Amino acid sequence: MADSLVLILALTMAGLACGWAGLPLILQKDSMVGDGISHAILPGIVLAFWVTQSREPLPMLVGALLAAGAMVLLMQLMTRVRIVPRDAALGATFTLLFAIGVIGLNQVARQVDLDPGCVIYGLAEMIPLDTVLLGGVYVPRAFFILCPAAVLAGLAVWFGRREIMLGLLDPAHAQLLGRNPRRLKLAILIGVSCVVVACFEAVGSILVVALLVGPGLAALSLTHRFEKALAGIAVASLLNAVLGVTLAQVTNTSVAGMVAVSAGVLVVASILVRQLLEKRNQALASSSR
Amino acid sequence: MIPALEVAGLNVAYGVNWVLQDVDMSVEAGSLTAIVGPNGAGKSTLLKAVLGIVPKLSGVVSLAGQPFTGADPRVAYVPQRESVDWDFPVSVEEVALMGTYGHMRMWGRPSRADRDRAAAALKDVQLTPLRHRQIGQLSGGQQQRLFLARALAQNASLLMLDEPFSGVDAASQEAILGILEGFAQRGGTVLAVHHDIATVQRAFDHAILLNRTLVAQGPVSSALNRANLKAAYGDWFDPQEDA
Amino acid sequence: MSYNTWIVLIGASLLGMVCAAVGTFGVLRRQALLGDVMAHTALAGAALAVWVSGTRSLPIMLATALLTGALGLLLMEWLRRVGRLRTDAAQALVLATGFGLGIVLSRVVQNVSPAGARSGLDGFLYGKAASLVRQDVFLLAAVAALLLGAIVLLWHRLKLTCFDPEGATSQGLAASRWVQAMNAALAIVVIVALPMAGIVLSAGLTILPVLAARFWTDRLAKLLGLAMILGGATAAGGIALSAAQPGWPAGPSVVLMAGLAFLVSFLFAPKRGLLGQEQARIRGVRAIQLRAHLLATQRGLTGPVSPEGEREARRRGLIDGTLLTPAGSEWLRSEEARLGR
Repeated sequence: MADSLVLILALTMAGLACGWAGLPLILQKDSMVGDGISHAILPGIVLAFWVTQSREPLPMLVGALLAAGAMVLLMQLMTRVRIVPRDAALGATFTLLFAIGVIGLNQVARQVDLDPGCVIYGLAEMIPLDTVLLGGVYVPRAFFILCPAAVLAGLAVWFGRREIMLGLLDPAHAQLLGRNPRRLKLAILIGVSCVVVACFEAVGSILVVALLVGPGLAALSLTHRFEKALAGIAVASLLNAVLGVTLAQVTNTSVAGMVAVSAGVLVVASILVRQLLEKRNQALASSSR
Repeated sequence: MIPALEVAGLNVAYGVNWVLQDVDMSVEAGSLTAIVGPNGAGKSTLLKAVLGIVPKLSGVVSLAGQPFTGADPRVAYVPQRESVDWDFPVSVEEVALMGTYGHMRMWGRPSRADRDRAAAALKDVQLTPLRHRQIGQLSGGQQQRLFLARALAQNASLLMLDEPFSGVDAASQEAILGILEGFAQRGGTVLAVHHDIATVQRAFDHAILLNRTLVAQGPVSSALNRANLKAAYGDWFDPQEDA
Repeated sequence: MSYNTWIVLIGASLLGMVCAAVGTFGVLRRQALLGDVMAHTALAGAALAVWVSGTRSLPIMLATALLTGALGLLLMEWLRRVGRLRTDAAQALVLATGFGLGIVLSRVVQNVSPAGARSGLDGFLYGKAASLVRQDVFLLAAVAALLLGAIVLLWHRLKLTCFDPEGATSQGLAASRWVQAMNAALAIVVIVALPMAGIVLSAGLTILPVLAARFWTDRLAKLLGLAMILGGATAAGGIALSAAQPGWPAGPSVVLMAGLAFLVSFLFAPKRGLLGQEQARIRGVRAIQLRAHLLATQRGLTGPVSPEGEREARRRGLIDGTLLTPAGSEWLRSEEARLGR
């Protein structure tokens, strides 16, 4: 029972970090970039293994971050040529980097025990078991990275919300007021890369992709205000985690998979609720006329 | 009198496509000036190049006699309605308030005075009752008026608009024209891209006729005479039919 | 080369060609990532087949994978129409949810029959090109023939729908139906490719050869042909590479070759490539800037119309201080004559 609570707490925090960082990503129409980054980090991880010959987390994070940065920059470079659309640039970059990563993995796999499945599925079930003794209490190790990630993402999006809205709604206006909208977009991509890298080890890359867009889209279906959407993302993250963990335990299946499914279900549910509310409002409006 | 905006030797190219060639123009302070020309004449590009959104190959832009750097809250810009993401989670009130962010520091928050200015601007364009709506819930004309309110809240002296009347009904067009005239009467300058020559002849006082290069500029009656229009639009142009 | 290598080589080339063919229309319609989404939803279908039927028969797995792919397409359409989501958001959500479901279902399979059952599903993740057999080659050849026949028959409609969907609709072509047909074709091909190339890599095969070809032509027919040639050739090259290098898996090697073809085209294609475009741009820009500065000098304008043009003019001795030299006037006159002024 306590383990379930720890799991729910950890997945909620992952949801907060990804969901909050994902909101500007959705608004700048780069939702698929999360998927791209989560695949493109593979060569970075492999490189870190190859250099350090160990599975130390820190070099792995640095390698992943470098690969994510490389993907974002390569994508930007490609769109400088007019005939390459942005979505194709993304697809070309991350599939190529992933292929390089898999080839590299096959080279180092003989030296280090490295399971690519862990990168994709994550080891969410292991979170409650992998603990550190802190002041007499066993604290899951994942908390030390998920907590700061959620707090930092929340602070950045909350205090940056006016700049984000200003720069993304009308870049030309923002530029006249002395802002740099291009730098803002790049900053959002780099921020998302950091969150992806921070969360994938604990929860797996597929869940990161789901949590980047799921809570944000659910919240945006029900509110038209940025601030309310941030609160909605918090609620959605908690619901996702509770629903996903419960379903996974009832059916004895993968937690990461179930939370990803819950994220999709929650978006569909929010859209249905909105449809219902709109219908009711229409009925009210026509009856009062 | 110093012109509100002056452009000299402007050249712009997209890749190898030379879009604007040697454009010199000057916009009189306090005027309502329209940029007119056929499709693909580079009208929107001209505005964007002046603003620095599209890179200039050459050319100097000066604002009220001073070099214009591209980041200057004295200039307000109203983009083409189609280029705005109307699903963006932002309210009418917040968009008007964005006009005041010019002197706000990054990470800062708007002051009481800023909020008052935004509220007054919304009142000027008669959108106060709709201030809590999301921007996608406005009609085309209301959306244009909202961006005008943002420009008013910005306290700009030069207002640049890209096709402000597209997708707008006749009543809204009159309302928008009223707001623009009021802005010019208080000493502001209006520079708008517009494709309908009849409206320009009726409501604007100056025109810049463009077809990749400058064809004519000056008071509407002289700039948009038959010979100039023919030069810009080609022989098939019939002002009787179009006007 | 052994018989098996030949089979793999031919199969992979066919695969590269069909992926490039459907990918051409995908990339042009700004739906380049649709293959990636479809591939991710397929795991759920394959796992479902194993769970329900209890066997690991490839045809059944592919059929159910197509079913979940179709469901994914429908969900995406619903999210865009009713949910008012943008394409990229709908794609990301369907991809993540579909793949999450796939993971859940493959765990169910694992729970039901712990031993061995998952190995077939793991193949879906990374692909096992080396396991291609003769029947696969026949299947691929059939898909390729059908696809090419359909493309030739529907050529004008496809072309119109790609470049101008609204125009196609106004001509009564019911563009949305053709869009759906193209999406379905992309889904079928990617899912057929899955057991050989794996999820991400089969998505790559629908994008990389097409983008590479895009740098050499602007015409749809040539683009399609070139993309298919590149797709087939890079696939063969990748298989050869992986056969020569022990420990180089086939799928990633193929994508690596396609990626190299893309990078070379992207950088070095004359005219459209990055370097060629920059060079042409810089050359064109130089002349425009020089001319702008000389014109401004001629008119006695002192402002810095173009600092780059001024530097160039000074270097070439076309101006002296704020005045045109005779050589400068001559250059300007010939330039204006060339432009027909």
